[in-house]
Amino acid sequence: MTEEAKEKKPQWAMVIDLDRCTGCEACVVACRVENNIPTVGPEEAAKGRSINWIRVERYFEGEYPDVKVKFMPVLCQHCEEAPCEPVCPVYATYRTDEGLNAQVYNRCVGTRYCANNCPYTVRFFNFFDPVWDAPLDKALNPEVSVRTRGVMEKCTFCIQRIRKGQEKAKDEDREVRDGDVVPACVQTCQTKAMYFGNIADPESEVSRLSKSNRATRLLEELGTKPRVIYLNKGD
Amino acid sequence: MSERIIAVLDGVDQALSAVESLRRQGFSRAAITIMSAEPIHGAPFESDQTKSRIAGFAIAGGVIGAIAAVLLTVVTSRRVDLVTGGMPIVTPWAFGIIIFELAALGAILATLGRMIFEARLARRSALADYDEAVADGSVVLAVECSDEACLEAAKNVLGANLTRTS
Amino acid sequence: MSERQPTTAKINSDLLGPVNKPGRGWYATVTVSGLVVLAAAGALAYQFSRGLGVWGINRPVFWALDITNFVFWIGISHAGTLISAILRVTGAEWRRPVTRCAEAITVFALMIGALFPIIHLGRPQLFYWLVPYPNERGLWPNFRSPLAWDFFAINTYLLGSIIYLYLPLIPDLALLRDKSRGLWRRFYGALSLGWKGTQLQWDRLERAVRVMAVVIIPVAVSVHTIVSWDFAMTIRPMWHSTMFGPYFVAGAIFSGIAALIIAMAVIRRVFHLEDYLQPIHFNNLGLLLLTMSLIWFYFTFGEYLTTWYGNLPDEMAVFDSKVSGVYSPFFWGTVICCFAVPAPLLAIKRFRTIKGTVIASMLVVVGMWFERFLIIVPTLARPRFTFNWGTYSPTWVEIMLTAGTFAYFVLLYSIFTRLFPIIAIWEYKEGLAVAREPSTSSSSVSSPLTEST
Repeated sequence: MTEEAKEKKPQWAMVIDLDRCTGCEACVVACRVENNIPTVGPEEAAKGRSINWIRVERYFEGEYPDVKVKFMPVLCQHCEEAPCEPVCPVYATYRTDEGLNAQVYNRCVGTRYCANNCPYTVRFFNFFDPVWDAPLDKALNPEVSVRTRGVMEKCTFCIQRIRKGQEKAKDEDREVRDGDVVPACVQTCQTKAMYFGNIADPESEVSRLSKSNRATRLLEELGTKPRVIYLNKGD
Repeated sequence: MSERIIAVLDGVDQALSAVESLRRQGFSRAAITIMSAEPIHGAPFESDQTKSRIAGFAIAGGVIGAIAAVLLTVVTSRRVDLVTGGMPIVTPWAFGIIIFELAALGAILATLGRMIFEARLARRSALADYDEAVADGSVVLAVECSDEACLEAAKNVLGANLTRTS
Repeated sequence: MSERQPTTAKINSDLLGPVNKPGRGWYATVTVSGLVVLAAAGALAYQFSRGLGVWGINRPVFWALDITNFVFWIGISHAGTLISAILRVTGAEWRRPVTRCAEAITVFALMIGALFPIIHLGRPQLFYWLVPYPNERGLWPNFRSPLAWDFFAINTYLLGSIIYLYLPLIPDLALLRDKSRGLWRRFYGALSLGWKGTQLQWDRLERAVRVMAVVIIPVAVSVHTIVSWDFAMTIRPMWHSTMFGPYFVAGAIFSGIAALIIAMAVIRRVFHLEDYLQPIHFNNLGLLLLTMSLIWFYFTFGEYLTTWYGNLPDEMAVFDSKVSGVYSPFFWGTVICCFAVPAPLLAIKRFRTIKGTVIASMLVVVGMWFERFLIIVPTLARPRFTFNWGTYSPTWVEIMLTAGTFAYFVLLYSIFTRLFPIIAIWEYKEGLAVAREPSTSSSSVSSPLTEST
């Protein structure tokens, strides 16, 4: 691929406004439904085997009764220099030219090394064969592959929706613009705390918000260059 | 027509004096083979007939292994051409480890192969001239002769210890 | 000539004894260890059929006893080849009855250690995807991954160790060939490659062993360094450490010597080899073990001191869990087992007996197993975001597999002693000859045979 063509590729990024997040976890549910995430049941979940491509982390500040709760939705940060990628011996995870941290289930042999090197703990392992309690087993999304036992999985930025948006733009013979691609979590967010788009396009919403003085990235000091930008007034 | 005379001697000292007598009779060092259950030090015999190239082969094997590793890592990584962790496709720091390991592997295999070749092991007639008395601590001499006179001379020296000719 | 030179016949019968008539203890050992191995194989089959969920691993503790056992056994494997190579290169005469026991430990420990990267995979049936070969997937391994380095390092070391065990075994195989009949004769005959002990063969064998010793030392060092880099290449707190390479190598040699001392004591007792494995060997190895204990303590102290002094929050979370938190019993147990008890025990000459060194060695082996566990689990259980902190406790499957590794080692080692002499017979005889004439070396001797060509 030539440099020019590469430049024209969209670079996907997400912005999450923590000041707007109410911690309702609707994004978590939407993600499960969209991406065929198996349920493991309460016992396995208590053992740490649950899979949530996005989760809302809760942090408490202060002592009762003067307590403040902070919510932080965490998903794969799609790092530009992802620590999970080079440690995989079989190229099951690598960086696409659209800036996604891809996970190829068919290549994965399940060393779990990527998960150990992820500073955000957003990679998930299929400890058993996936199961869905009825009637969820009849409601699988046909556009998303079901993962087998023994492979890693994680947030894809709803790659199936990205492809759909790109096809639509191509049909209409134009560049991808804001609103073409809306991942499930972004779509469902009640308070509009999440934004998704092409950060290489200076006109896009995520581009504009990423330059906000509230913008920050998780564990920026590690040099992983995450593609998820958090907005936080820093109280 | 070459014939071999095989003699079994009780110990290293007897064997060495028999060899000395044979040498005085005009036998060349190449014609006398000494077989023993442990290496006899201080009697450099056939060992320095030919120069050993094991060390040289080890180095050559190492070089070949290293070159193979460079080719393997560079060519296949270029072919796959996937970016991981922002690292360059050709990553000398990481590939250096593979190069080291394959160099060592090359050296090890070359050493083994060359040693088997030089020690004339794994050949069809490897056990010709051998006598199992070696296992019990005896030293076996095999003397190579090309004519009758030589045979006679050898038989004279080895006398009672002679076991067979082949 | 020294006053009490054993005859060839006596050496042969003593050292071939275990091969010819192994005795009741041998059968008992093989039966018991074989049963444990079978039970572990059952647990493994259960794991393969159900999935890795039957282990206690979870998110965030994705590795636990699997990698503990991997690192531990690869560490034990440093007993052999490395120690025997160092002793050979430095020409330590007392090595002679020790080298083969040590080299056999290497091969079997390595085989067991190398099992874990395969069976711990989510899809173990696809382990061969790490092998570089042209394939229908159009994909090659990622050579930037420390696991790909592991693949090359372990295979090189395994192949090198087998060859390094095999080369000095050839003359003994020839001896066995001459001493056996029937099928065994053909078995040993094939393995001994037609060795007949000509001086040319001896010369080439000793040369090859010397070259191998020189090559295998850096390989052995690289193997455990690369194992440590599985951790050090990550950016996890208390894993991302530049000194992990030497720290792991030192720990490996440490636990390897301990395993060697235990193996030698067992062999000595079971096969009545008191004349061959003497207190001097245990004394010398005990001194080596003491040295390694001090080095281990130095590394551990350095590692923990820099972490504590730096006081970085992410690192301190792991540090605290090890030193004063949930893992502290293991941490202090490790310090006691690897340093506090063995170091004084080995330092005092009166205690540096066979019994004393064996007690110290057992403590060290246990301590080093827990040290490996402590390196792996606490770091994983303390990710940077406290929301994701986890715990780990093993299931019966993991415990069974761990027990199985020890049993499997005992089984393989027992079978080895039944098939091959565990003390190098020709090297021992050569040692006696060297002791008779201490000054003999091919360059300095003046013999009527050396003059003209």
